[in-house]
Amino acid sequence: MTHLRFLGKHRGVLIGIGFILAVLALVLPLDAQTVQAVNQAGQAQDRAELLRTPATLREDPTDEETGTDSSHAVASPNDPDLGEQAILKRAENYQAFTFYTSAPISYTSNVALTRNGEEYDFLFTPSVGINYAPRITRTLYGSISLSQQFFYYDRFGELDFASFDVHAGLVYYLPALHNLLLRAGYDFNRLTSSDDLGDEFFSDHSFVVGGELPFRIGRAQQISVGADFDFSVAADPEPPARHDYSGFVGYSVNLTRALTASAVARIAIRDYVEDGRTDVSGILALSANYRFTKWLSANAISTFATNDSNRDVFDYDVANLGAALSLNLRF
Amino acid sequence: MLGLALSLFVGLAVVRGAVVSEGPGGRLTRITKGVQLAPVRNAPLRTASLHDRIADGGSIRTGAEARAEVTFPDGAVARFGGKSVGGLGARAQVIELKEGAVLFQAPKGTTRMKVETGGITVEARGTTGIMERHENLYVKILVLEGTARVFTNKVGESILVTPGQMLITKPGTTTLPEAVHFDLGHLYKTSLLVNAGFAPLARKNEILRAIKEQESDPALIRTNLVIYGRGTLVNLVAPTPAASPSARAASSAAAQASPGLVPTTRRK
Repeated sequence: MTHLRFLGKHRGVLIGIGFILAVLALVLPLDAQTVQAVNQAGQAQDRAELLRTPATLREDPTDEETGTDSSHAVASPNDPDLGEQAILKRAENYQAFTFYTSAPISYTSNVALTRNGEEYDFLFTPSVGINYAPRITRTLYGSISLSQQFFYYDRFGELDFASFDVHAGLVYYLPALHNLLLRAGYDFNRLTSSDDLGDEFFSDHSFVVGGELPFRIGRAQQISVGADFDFSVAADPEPPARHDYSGFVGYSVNLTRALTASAVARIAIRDYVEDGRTDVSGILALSANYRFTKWLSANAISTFATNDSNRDVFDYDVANLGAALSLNLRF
Repeated sequence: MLGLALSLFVGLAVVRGAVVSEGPGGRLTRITKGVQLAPVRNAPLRTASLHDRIADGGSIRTGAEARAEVTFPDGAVARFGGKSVGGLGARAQVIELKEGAVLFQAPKGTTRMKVETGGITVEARGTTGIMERHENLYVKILVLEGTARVFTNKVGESILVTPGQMLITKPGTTTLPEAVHFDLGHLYKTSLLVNAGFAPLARKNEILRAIKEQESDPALIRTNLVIYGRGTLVNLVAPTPAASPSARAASSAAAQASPGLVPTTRRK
């Protein structure tokens, strides 16, 4: 809540910065090459977002152990039948670090996210990352992560790029409010060419806040609703920078002990800091996850997205289908 | 007259034998004190004898301090404790517990054994465990070795209970709680269903291995809470510094040598 208040307090400043950036963008002349580069950067942002290794609906970072019952029985002459049950307690062994890597292969129906002349392609998008989530209090966790993902296209190799992400923030659980989760943090995203990570063509600094409310249905199902707000505070080049406001609803079900299926529908409003462009995107992600071991899993994911912009040239529809092998190690 | 009686006796024995042979069932391999048996479904209870057959659908009732062991053709075992009412289900390898306690052991590589009570089912294969039920108050499930799948009638409500874990819930529940840990070695040494005049369990080595594994788990810490035998009454015993696995093992052995842990306070 503190972070929400902080953002609310500085909302005017953020809007002001965004306005100045927009004015500068309008005033400064952009040549055709720059415009093309900007559009590519903007599309790369979308492609990175749509093809990014999908995050599952959140899981509690703790393994709570409960198990109490208030019914008692009087002792009987046969008490010793069972034997004495000396209760043991499992000491908590919280593992704050998670290393993850994934090797997805995907098909996309609209490689360049264009309105007309759609072209399909196949992609290989390996990723690697590490996350550190220190437990500050019982309900407050830190979250620091670094990740790098590469996007290699089969038919349109000129679109290859890489995305580097840094996140630092806090996650706060409110058990009294239906395990409501609140998160706030700082995100840094840097897009480069895939063969030269020093060849940056876009970078963005943003503040993110969000919340998620889970509703468990029995042991195997969960519905989640939530919202995320992403305020871009600095970008290079500036024009493709945008603020994202999105809401989502998700459903996950454990079909077996190893197989989980989930669906997430998200509506996002993308308010570009440049010249009044606003997009509304609808994204439906369907995924299945099969866990071979605690640390190795196979995933299948499909995303269907439609983008409706107030600049018709940016409208597009796309479908992505993919499969991945993922490694997840906690330590 | 004697001939008629003899004919009737022989006839009844043949009919009884034919009926008892319905379904695979099992055989009573150990009985202590008052054990009553209905060898087939809806048959009247009669005093059981050693080696009596019990068909699927048959039932068993044990008196106070009585025990009965049923052994199945594949080597699976069900040991009923005192004041227990149970039997075999209509399907093979299903044990129904209505009241009391039953130790079950299902060998590996055979049909899954199911132990049912109050809408709660324990599915076992390569597993030894104990299920206890008292009226409509509680159901307790303890696993000694192997893994038991416990589930209710609600779709998706299923958990795995591993060696040294105990689950306490209510009959008729649809939502299962998480399991808690208990000292497996101490229970093994103090349980009459394991020790009291019975032959050693076929999967004894697996139980001893599970005890060893639990004792070497540094994350498990001894508490001063004990449930003495049946029920859910938790007793507060004198605090013990035996937090490490080796100390816990030593403490467990000491507790076995003495009549039992000494309760200081009882609380509900």
